[in-house]
Amino acid sequence: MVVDRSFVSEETWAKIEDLMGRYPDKRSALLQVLHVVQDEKGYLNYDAIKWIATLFRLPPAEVYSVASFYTMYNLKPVGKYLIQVCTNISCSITGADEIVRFIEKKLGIKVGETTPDGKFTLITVECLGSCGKAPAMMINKDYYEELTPEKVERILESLK
Amino acid sequence: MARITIDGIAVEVRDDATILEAARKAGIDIPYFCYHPYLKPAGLCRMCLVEVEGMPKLTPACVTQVRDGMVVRTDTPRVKKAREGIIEFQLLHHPLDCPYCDQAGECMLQDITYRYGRATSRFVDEKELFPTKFYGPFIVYEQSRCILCKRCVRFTHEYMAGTDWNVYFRAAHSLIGTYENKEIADYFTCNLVEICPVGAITSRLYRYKVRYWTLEWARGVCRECGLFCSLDYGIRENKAYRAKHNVNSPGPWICDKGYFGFECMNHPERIKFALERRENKLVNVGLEKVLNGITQALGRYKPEEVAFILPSGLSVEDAAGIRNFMDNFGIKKAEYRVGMEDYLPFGSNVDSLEEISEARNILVLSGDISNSYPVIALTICEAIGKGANVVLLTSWDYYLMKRVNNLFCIKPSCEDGAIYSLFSGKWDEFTGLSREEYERLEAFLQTKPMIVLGPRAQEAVRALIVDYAIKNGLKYIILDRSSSSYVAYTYGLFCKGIDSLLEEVKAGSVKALFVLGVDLFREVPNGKLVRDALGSVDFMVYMGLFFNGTARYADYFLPLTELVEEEAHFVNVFGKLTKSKKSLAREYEERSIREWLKLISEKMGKKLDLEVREFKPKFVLVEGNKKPKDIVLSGSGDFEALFEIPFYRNFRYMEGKSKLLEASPEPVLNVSIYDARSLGLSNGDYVSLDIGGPSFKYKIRVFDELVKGVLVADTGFEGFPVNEALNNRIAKVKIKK
Ligand code: SF4
Ligand code: SF4
Ligand code: FES
Ligand code: FES
Repeated sequence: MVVDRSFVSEETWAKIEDLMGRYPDKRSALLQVLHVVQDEKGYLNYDAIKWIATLFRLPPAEVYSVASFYTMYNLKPVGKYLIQVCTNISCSITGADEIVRFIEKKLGIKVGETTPDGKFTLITVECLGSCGKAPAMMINKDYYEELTPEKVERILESLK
Repeated sequence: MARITIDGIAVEVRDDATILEAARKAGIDIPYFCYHPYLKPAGLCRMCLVEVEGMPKLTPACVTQVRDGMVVRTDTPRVKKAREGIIEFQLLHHPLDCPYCDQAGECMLQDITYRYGRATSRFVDEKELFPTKFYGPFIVYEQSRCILCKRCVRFTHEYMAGTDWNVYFRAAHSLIGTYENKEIADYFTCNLVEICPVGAITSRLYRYKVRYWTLEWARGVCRECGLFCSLDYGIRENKAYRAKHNVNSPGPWICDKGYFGFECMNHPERIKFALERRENKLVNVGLEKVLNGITQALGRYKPEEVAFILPSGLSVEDAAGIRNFMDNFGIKKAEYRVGMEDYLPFGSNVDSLEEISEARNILVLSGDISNSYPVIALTICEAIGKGANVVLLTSWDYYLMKRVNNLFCIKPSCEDGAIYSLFSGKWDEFTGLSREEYERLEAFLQTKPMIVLGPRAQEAVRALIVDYAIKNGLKYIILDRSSSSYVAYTYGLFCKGIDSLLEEVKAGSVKALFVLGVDLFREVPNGKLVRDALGSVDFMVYMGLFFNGTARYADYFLPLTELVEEEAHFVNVFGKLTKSKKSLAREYEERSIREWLKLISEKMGKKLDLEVREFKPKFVLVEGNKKPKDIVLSGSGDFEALFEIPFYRNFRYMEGKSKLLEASPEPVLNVSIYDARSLGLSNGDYVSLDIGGPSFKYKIRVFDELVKGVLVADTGFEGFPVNEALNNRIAKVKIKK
């Protein structure tokens, strides 16, 4: 089957070509290509999965299986800012639940939801590797540590 | 060979055996979930942990190979504790809904928990439960009961050459299913039900019908194709509820036709009384009157004016009975080749499915193997999974076209010509193969592949291939559209083909017909001829289970028995005999074909001997020097259409198999991707197909592998008489949006 290049921007296509050229077995580039496409589209829907499957000559089910396994791929649309609060053990002990509740209240959404203006999505995740500075969260690709409600308030304000 | 001891018992096994296999041989029970004798070991569930002397940790028995002198223990406190732990984890989120789970009674989780688990649970938190999912008409998936052994996924990958079936998400949220939640009706769906060790995948036909332990099992045979798989039917109160594969089958798997097809025995519309025509209706006038009527009528005809038309799936006993009946009265004409004009020779020099799965190179020709011999197609896919190189030259094979390594797709009218040219060594541009393609095929032929020829091929092609294969020492399987071929051929129950027989009926030289269990309107490609012939037949006896288009013309209707309602033997494509036992009592007047013939014969004063003393299947060889007949296409238009009955309608007594029919609810027209683009059509659109006169409404399916200009159209639908407007399987047609 032919791959329709216009599905992604030229820039993304260039990145994909580069990634796929790096490994003797093309398949090794799958995780990274999923990231690159997600960076452009914001999330990976069935169309994107199918397109990537054609690219790698894999059954779409296989690609979807991979994409759904890792929590860092979004299978549904997310807001401009994706807030990922760690609720694993260290963060829980140091007050992650309070942080989650605070954000829920502040934004008026529940975990797993997106604000009506499409700006914020809130989810909880497992250990972010910042246990030493718990509680921690990630917003898009940035880390925020040693959180308190006041600190979170300031961060959210700065993103408005 | 390696000698090992398990719990003090010494056992000798192959060097590459696993501990689990050795234990099975030694008669020691090691519990397992993900292990399956026909799947590659995966080591996923950890249920099979054992202690091996010299190994610090417990080791999974299903993936650990034996070593000479190995000492294994399965009865230590450590193993016991590990088993309890594994089961406790499996049950953490399990809903414990055995009281209404269909698997209860045959569930490995139940059995293993009972034997090796703790009696109580320490889990006090709320369980996470998931919604039920229905994947198409056949299977239902309960995520909460799934133990993630991946047997189902491994089956689809190892045997079905990859499908949409997979695991998504992870850990406690892992979900098994199809991509985009699509329906799955993939010919072999039933095996997912059978292979799932727990109640996560169950059959929708069996859902909430009856409890497993109330069933008694009866050994029977599936009569849908020439493999005659051996099945067990679950019976309760003289009614069948389940089918199950058993080890006497030619292979470890069966197909949906066999698994769901027993439904016709229980169907509410099944006719169980002998009927006579009064004015325009078939009515019950009592058995005596019916028999008198038939014998009187038969007395009016000369033997050469009487003919038999036979179904596929004929048993040895019925064939012998028909033969003796015909001899009793000097009747000469019978025909079993209903689905096609001529298809002798048939047969094979391959002995088993295993031989197919072990082949390194397979050349699959013509079609439609996956539709008419499903498990052979599955075995070919298994070979692909094992690394075989499979080349397919065909115009249409729904299942295999998407799965083989190399596909040469051509027009239906070119099929016979292309195969013929390949085996006679002369390329011809009219075959639809380019010279380069032809050379690639020829080179492949040099590797001495096993040849599998589908039932669509005509006589000259069959003969040439048998000839070639024998001369060059190739393995071959020549398939036949009718599964009755061995017995019918052995008893000489064929004449000059269905078309010439129907011509005789039409011309009036054959006046009385016995049509046994076939709906001619559905199966004979030349539908026009069927209509003319039946319209002018003088006298007709129809035997079957249901009223249908052909039965409409009958003067008498005699109800038949099916599956485990009679004892019978069948000969499969490998020439092997399988036996079906009689396990259901007769309810009303239904009888087997031979029993009816015996009644009629005795009424006419001649005894009919029904005993089969010896049966040696005969196999035909026809000289390979004929030329294939040219295919003359009727109709006009830019497209060449092949009309075939789809898989989920292609079986005996279609009328009574509602579950299977759900997978093929309406006629589909397969269009190549090129034509779909140029006509602006996409999946699910409706078009009408003009076949020179009437037109028929079809739903579009875009099929990537088809060649340009070719359509494949479904037939075999009630109230959709498309083949009555045709005189061949292939025709020129037009598409109207
Ligand atoms: S559905 Fe059944 S076979 Fe498939 S992974 Fe779950 S438990 Fe195993
Ligand atoms: S492969 Fe043939 S005999 Fe076996 S279950 Fe399917 S239709 Fe029946
Ligand atoms: S537990 Fe939260 S960062 Fe490790
Ligand atoms: S049976 Fe050994 S790990 Fe599942």
